[in-house]
Amino acid sequence: MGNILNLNGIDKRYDGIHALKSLDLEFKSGEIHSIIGENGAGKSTLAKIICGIINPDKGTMVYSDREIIKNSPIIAQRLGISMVTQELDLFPNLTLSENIAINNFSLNEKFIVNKQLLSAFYKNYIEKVGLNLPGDIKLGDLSVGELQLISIARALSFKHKLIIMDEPTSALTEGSSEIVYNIVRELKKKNIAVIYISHNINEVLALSDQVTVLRDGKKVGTVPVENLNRHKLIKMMAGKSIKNKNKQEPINVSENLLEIQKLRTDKLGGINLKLKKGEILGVAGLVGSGRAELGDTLFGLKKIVSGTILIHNEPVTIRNPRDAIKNGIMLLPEDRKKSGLFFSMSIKENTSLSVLEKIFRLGFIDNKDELTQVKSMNEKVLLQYNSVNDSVDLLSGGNQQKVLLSKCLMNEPKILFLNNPTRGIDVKSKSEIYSLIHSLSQQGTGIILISSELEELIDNCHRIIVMNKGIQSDEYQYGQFSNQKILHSATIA
Amino acid sequence: MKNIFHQLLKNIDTYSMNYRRYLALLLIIFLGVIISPKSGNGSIIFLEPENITDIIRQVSEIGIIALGMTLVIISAGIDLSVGSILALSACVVTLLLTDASASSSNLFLGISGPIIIALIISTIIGALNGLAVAYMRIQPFIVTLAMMFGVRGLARLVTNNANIDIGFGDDIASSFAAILSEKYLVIMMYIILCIILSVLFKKTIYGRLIRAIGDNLRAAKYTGIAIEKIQIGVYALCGFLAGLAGIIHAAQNHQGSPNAGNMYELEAIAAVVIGGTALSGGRGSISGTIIGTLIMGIMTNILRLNNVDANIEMVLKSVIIIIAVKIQTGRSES
Repeated sequence: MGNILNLNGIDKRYDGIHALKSLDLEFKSGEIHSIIGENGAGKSTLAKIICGIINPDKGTMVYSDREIIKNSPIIAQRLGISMVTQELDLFPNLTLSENIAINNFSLNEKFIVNKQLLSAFYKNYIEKVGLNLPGDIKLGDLSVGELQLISIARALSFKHKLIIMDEPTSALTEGSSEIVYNIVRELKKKNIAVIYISHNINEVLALSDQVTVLRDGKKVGTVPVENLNRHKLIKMMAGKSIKNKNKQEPINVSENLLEIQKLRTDKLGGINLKLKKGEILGVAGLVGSGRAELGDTLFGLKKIVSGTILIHNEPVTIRNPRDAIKNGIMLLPEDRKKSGLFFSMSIKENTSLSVLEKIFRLGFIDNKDELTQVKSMNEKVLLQYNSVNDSVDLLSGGNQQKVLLSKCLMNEPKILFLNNPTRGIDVKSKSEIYSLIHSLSQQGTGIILISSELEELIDNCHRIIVMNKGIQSDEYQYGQFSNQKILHSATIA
Repeated sequence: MKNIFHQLLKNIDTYSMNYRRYLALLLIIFLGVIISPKSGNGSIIFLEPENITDIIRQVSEIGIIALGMTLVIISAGIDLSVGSILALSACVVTLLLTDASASSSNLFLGISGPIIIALIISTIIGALNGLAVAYMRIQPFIVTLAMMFGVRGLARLVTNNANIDIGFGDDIASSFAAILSEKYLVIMMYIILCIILSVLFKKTIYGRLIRAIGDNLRAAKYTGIAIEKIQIGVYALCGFLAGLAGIIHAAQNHQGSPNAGNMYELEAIAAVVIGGTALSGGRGSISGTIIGTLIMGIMTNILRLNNVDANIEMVLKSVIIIIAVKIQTGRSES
């Protein structure tokens, strides 16, 4: 079988950064070819080049034995190349069915959208990704995980020969990820070439036929999956092997830091929860289970219908994030781009933003003072940067996340909510963030870790609760963790 | 080694961006010098101190409004009501000054009282804009568009749709006009306001938070910023400055006209945009707006010195605005 796509000597520079260095790659029809590498390895750049969003500086692309001279998203689509992006470029103000059908103009031959055709068309694809949502719902109201599944559904609706998936499961729970894996396998059966970009070693090993490892814009190698194991792959990605350590010891503190009694909102149905000083409490659950709402509610972003929140056994009122911060609660949001970072601001300005009023009581900012405070915090979180005056835009995903952590820690929180703190970041930053969480816990900070990755919860928590349909369905004490059990609690109807 | 090189490239880039901000201004000054008519003794009229100070005085009204507009735009808003606020403020101040029955014998009180009342009214109108934006969650464009109509109507109501004239005698109103149309006083006021606003924006927490809410409102919420307070504050400040411009306008024109300040909101927005402030919010500067204001003022001055017809002036203005914005903002965003 011939190759559907050959890349020869692809080279790309952005503003002085050498993103891809003379890359040669081959893709075959009916093959799942994973591209794996740390953040900044060039994976997303590669994907954007293949689907025509950016053009390479050098190199050629040969598709079905014909060279693509001037690629663009429209040409790529006509050639049968489609992509599920990490950035979820859907249209928030269009309805679900319109989003799915947006590029299939064949639906409306008369230039008038036929509502019946539209709804039949969208249903077909939305069911494939395991969602059951009305076609007229606006996308703005949905969660990141649901959006990710929808963008996969949209990509399925194109007539494609090659499909690129850029971290399709990064916002999904293991249950929903399984749906994606099945879709990928089905595509393979239809003789479609799949380029699967991921950070997740387990999923790459389970899913792929070929694995290409990228590091610093260079190809480390392409290896058939039979010749790989976890250890080898990590070694290729990192250049050196990283040991999985950081197993928790059980804590024996009895001091209650936070207690939640019968907390109800429109999405939460009566949550009871206790958090001890220095405890790391894991929150598992599928997308839409209410795990994100729990954090948002305690941080004052969602209206509380009824219930009591006690901190150090004293009832507190939290109506907005300012109240929460005053009570020593900080939240690291799930979506760092939408709810976390200020992209026209520097690393320094992003870090200090929530404590300015605390540090500079007179209202005037002392640049030197700000700089020292920010720098010492950035060192604590092991942030890698050239200058604190650089825009956060220039940082890799892992370092952007560290800036947000640093910003949270500036407030010296007693209770820290982390909502998927390691989503879409590289292995090294991940393990650095875990060590940081552990040392915070040793200093007595209570941490609530919401995560889609069971392994992350099992490796790092003292206790795990499972959310299901707005209530906690189960609780697992230290030593009782098992991914099968947790997955079961999260998915029972 | 790679890092050093990268850093160097970036420094050159930032340097050229900083320099760019002055490029358009230098170009237009250069143009002014070249095509300026000469006076009898052969000197270039455009460069005469009298002409330069005239330019600054002429731009000071729009310039003051543009300062407030800059902060509103950086907070990801817009204020279309400033022209109407200017008119209402001018009418209120002249009405009070010319109202003989209420006039105080004390010159200072007689002048400052009406000014303070006009400023308070303007600030309240601005704050109302802010309240509607912050708490009713209506888009700033719509809120201030409605306010533009409403306040213009109010100005016509209080004046019965007639111009309130200030004479040239020695009554309080005339003294007010005489003092506040003094060229160097107006220029000084403009310069001092430029400095205050620039410090407010660059050196205070308030300025930083304005940028933050304009950059990413959602993230600002997650940061615990009191978004509503800041929004009300920027619109109130913008209203205050428009009111102040209205008082100067009344003094310079010796009248309060309910039809004054027409299209000023658009001129102020043009000055802000020429100054490199992004209409999408989050990015911009007071110094840029000052440059933008000067570019607009010099442009008008050059055309008038060369006796260009007012209608042709408008057509040329449109071209120059586009070119200036292009030079200022440089590379297209990718």
